Amino acid sequence: MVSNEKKRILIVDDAQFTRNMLKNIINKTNYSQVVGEASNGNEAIAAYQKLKPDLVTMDLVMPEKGGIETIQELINIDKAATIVVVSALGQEALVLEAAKKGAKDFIQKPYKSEQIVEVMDRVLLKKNK
Amino acid sequence: MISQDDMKLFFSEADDLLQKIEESILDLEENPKNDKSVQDLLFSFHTMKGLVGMAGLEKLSKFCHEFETLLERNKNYNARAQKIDPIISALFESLDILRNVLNKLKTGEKVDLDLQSINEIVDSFEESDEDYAISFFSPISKEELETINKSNSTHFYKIYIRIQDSCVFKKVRLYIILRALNKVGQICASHPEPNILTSANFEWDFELFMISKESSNTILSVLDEILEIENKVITNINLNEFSKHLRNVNLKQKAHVGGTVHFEEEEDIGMTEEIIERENVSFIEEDFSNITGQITTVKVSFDVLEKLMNNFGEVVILKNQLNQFLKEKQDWEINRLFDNMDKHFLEIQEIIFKLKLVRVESTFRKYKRLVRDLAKETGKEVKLILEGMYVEIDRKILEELNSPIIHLLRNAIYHGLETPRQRMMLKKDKTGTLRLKTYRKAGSIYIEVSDDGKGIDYDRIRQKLIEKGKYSPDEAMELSKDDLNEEILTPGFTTLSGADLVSGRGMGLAIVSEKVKELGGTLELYSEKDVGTTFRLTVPFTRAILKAQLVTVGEDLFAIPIEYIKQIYFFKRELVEYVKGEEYYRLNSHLIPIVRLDQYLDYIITKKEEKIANSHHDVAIWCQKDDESSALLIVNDVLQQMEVVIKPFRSKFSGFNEILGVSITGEGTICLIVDVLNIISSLTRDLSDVELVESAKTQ
Repeated sequence: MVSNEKKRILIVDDAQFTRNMLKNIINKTNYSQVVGEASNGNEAIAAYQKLKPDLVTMDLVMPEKGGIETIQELINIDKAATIVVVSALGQEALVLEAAKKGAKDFIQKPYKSEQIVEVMDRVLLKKNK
Repeated sequence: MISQDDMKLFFSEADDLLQKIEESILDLEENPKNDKSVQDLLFSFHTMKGLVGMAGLEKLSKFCHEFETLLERNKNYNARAQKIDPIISALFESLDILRNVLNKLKTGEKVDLDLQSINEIVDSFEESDEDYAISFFSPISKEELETINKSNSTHFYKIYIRIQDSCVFKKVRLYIILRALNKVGQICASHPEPNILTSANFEWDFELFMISKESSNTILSVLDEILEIENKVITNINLNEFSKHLRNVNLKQKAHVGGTVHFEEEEDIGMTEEIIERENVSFIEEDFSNITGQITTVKVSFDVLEKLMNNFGEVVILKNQLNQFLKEKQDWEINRLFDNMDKHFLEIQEIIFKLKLVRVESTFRKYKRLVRDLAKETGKEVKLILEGMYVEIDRKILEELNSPIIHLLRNAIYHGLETPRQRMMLKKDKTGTLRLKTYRKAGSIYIEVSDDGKGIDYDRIRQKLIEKGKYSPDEAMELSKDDLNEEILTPGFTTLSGADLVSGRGMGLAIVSEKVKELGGTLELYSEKDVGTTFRLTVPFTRAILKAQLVTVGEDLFAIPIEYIKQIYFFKRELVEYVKGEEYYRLNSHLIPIVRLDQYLDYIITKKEEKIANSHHDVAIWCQKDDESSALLIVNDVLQQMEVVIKPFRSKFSGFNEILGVSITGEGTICLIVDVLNIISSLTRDLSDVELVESAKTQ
């Protein structure tokens, strides 16, 4: 991994609070950095095309365009898009749907900051090589 | 040993459940997102499971359980909506199997529970449900394995994986693991078995057996990228060990891949043929007593009812004879006792008449399934709309009507409605509408079967009649639609008509017509080219009962069906307004046409004319036909409400449209039942005028 070249993360969640939490955790790691935020699917797609992030964290239940649909569209745009679903409890069927549409992995809310770090470690592992 | 009565109860409850299941499936098909129908289905299958289980039908019980599981898994409506078709067909097939087994059981036949088809069905929804994970398994035959083994470049792996016990969505976790591994090799088997595994019925760890050309390090790195894996061990094993593990490949999986699994020595696990014998059907007494404790209604077979009615009829005749005899005796005390008894007799009579009545929905609801199946069969899209399901009709008549109605529905789907494509071209809704409407009017039950299909091509019918030599071309041109309709319903018309001519095969229509005539009814048809066809069956409802408000007009007693009454007021003369010489009553901001029942009916009760003229009207009954049309019936007095048994007029009286029929009150007085709908209909023209006046006023 080349230093200075931090992994670029796009956060998609309709709640400002959640976005801030995630951003804090991610920006504390020394190898990844939040480069964009989106509060719904449409914003996410636009941001993705502009920013080409290394990883997208995706909320599933959002106004306007939901997570499932957004994942589908992102994968259509970029087959290699790395999307990690951040979902609430009790949404197993939705999360499964998301996985089928091409989400790379998932974590459940509420999460601990170590879990987010682990996501960055594991999911971005391949891209480190 | 189980008693005959218990068996009857069992079958009757099972039948009810089957009907409920069918309705719920149809509801679900109509609206896949409706959680209530899933809940209903779950409940019905659960009850069925218990019922057949108690009757000793263990396999059938297990079968129901499978469906419970399927429904449980599809509780989430998003997941369900996506694969609704396979679910619906699996449900329907299950229903047919249940019905079939129960029907055969009923006749005392020894039944082979068709395990083959059960497996197929269970598989079909396993597939639909578990494609998410089970599709990652690709079983492999011994021969294939040996060939692979010779090539030397392929490794056999046993992969042990333990998931963190904090993992909440095991299913999704498993999906992600299997998806990742599937990219680097072929997963052949698992422990526990794939179907258990994929339904997330494992603790926290499992083993996968997989062949791959990749090194164990590559596989390890794939797993490294996945979250929530606590531990993973990848072992390179030899062919012998590997194939040993393959034996746990489940039967279900075997069915999936057809013949590719060839372990002859393998047994069909627990799925041996089962023969259900009547002797096996045994209720456990204690459990059974629990059930009877919950029964709030008693089921009586119609045979028993029929006997009751016949016997009662005999008693009535004897009673009348006795009455005659007692009158001659002129014993006051005995006459008083007799009169008391007579009152109760009338009550019993009413109850018995009521028992004979059933709602048409009991039969008509079943047509939903029929229509659905026929539509599938013909590749047409059909929506069946049922109206007036609460109309009550004599059970016997309803039974007799069953096959004619089925005939009409069939014809409408086969010949009346166009294919979705044709409909699109005609700029009609892709889905054809089939309407089964039941209503009560003037002492009769009307049943209409209408479609919005292609209608009847009357010119072609004229042509056919000419070809047949029945009419000359000039005569044929003179024939009206009605004449032609009559021709269509005449037996023998078929011999000269093609099946496509009418929205039905002519033969069938003649039969339907004959059948309805037998019942003392009529069959009419209305059709317009490209608009649709309506068949209207009119049958008498020999003895129907309705709740009515008794009123007096002059000295006479009339009954007004309560269902049409919106409100009853004291009649205030100051609220009467005149529009075009007609009387209207101002209610809030509405003008309601007034019908003075005495004047309206005066030709019926001419003898009482004088008295009516002297009486003053003091009660106004607001009757409503629908949202648009209503009328205010003015009567002299309002008495009690009661259930009246309608006896339709015969022959020469049947010309009265204002009177639905006649009834006898508890006191033995005769009262006429007012046909509110007909009266309001006769006013409709006036009503539209009123609306105009009204809107003019407001402007």
